[in-house]
Amino acid sequence: MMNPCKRFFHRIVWFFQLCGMTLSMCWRGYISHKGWSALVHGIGLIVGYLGDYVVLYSMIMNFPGIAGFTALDVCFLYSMGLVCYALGNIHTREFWKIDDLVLRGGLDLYLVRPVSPLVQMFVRDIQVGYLSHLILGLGCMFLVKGMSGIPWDITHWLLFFFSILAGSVVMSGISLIATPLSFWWGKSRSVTGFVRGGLRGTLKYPITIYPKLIQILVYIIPYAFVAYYPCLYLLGRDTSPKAVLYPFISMLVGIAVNFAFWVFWRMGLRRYNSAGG
Amino acid sequence: MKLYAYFLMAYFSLKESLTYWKDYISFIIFSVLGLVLQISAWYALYSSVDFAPVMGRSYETMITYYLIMQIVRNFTSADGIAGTLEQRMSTGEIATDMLRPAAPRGILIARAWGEKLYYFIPSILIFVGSVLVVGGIQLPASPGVFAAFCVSLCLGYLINLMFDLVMATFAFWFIEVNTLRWFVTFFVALSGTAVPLWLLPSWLQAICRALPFQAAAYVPMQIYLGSTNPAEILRAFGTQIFWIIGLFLVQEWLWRRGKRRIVVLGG
Repeated sequence: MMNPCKRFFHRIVWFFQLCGMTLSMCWRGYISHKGWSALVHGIGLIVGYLGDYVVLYSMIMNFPGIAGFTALDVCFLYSMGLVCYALGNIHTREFWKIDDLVLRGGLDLYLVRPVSPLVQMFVRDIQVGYLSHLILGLGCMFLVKGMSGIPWDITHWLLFFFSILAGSVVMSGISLIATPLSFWWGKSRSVTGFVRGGLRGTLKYPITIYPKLIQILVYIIPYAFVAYYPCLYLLGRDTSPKAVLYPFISMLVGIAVNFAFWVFWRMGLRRYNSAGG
Repeated sequence: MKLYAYFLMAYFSLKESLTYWKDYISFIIFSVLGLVLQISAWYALYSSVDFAPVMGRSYETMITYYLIMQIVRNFTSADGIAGTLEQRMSTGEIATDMLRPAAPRGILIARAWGEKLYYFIPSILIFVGSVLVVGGIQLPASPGVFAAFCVSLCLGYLINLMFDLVMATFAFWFIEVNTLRWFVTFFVALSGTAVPLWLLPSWLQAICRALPFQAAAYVPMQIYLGSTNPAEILRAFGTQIFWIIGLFLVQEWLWRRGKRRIVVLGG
């Protein structure tokens, strides 16, 4: 019998192989199905999001700043949010259809197979279209970094990459956390939409501008740890030693919120009664 | 008789959405929270200038603008028509729509109205609630201005409806119209729904004014805030009607040409 450590290791390797295989399938499917329109779609996404940047920048440029952050700082925060949103949602798209899967019994398809439904759903619809978000977000961050003239040393660069990783883990958990609600309510698109989309607006500005209630909310649904805290040190808004720790705290929060989703999902799955035939 | 059928379609579309009432209540609560988020941003921005007017507009004007814009946006929006047609084209359900004794575009619009009411009713309730709680929100200068605002609102809806039908007809050629939507999103963001045009640089304002999107959302707002005199109101109506007729002709031409391209496989 294989020892538990080795079995766990094999399981991890198998999962990443599965991810790689699905990513390759999705990419080939995306390109062959859409052809040139995939490229046009990518450009369209970049153009669409550019509108948000223009609005944000133009709005803040009429004022001295917002809670001590300049228009460029806000663009950096927004870009960090955009990049983390893209990376954190590469594997969550299938969960966006959870209402339909529960109401029409489509989830049965995942339950009858000899692989965890969670793993199947993660790799079912890997989103390669988020490449546009990454290009735009990273491009804007580098542009802002160049324009703001803050010198970055090796610590900044390491924290920058770790912040993106941590923010993506948090974002992934946020996008998933409310989805099991469909097992109880049938439809939960308002809640999932608000958690994933409505509250996403808090990524744009420093969280200190919000009333206490909203600040508590962005700690519970931890948007504060996606962009605001990890960016404080990078933007030179907090240079104290504790600011270096924020990305690491973000990672811990990300792991916690993903774990909470897993528990919530298991509870919901126990309640699931197939509706299909 | 046909009108009654469309009314029933809208009613059933609304009823279907309202079946999941817990979801609906959360939608209302979250709409209020969304409003708080945006108002907080304006509050923080204006507090940085000690609430002095910016570009000649006070903080109260900005809050009024934002609250009324929620109603304007929800009322004038015709989103969903292009998406629904795209979906029905890809599944072949468009064939069923074509066989029905009602116009396919009428069916699309009626269903979209059901969805629209789902979002519009709470936006009115939230506005009334905000007026009572926040206070200080500007009301229209006179009943005449309010009437002009309502007319402009209806014209704004027709502009968006015609534009969405134009987008929808592209589904006959490309099936996927989502890509086109993203290109348009750039200009929709600059239509005055996210930020008033007076805060944009003048060159960008000039571009925005040459497009139909600001005529749908920003023009009714200008009338409500009393920034336009009677002659300008009439000119604004003229611009809106120009866009409605122009877009109607384009969508009619595209619809007639596109309809001939439908091929549905299977049965």
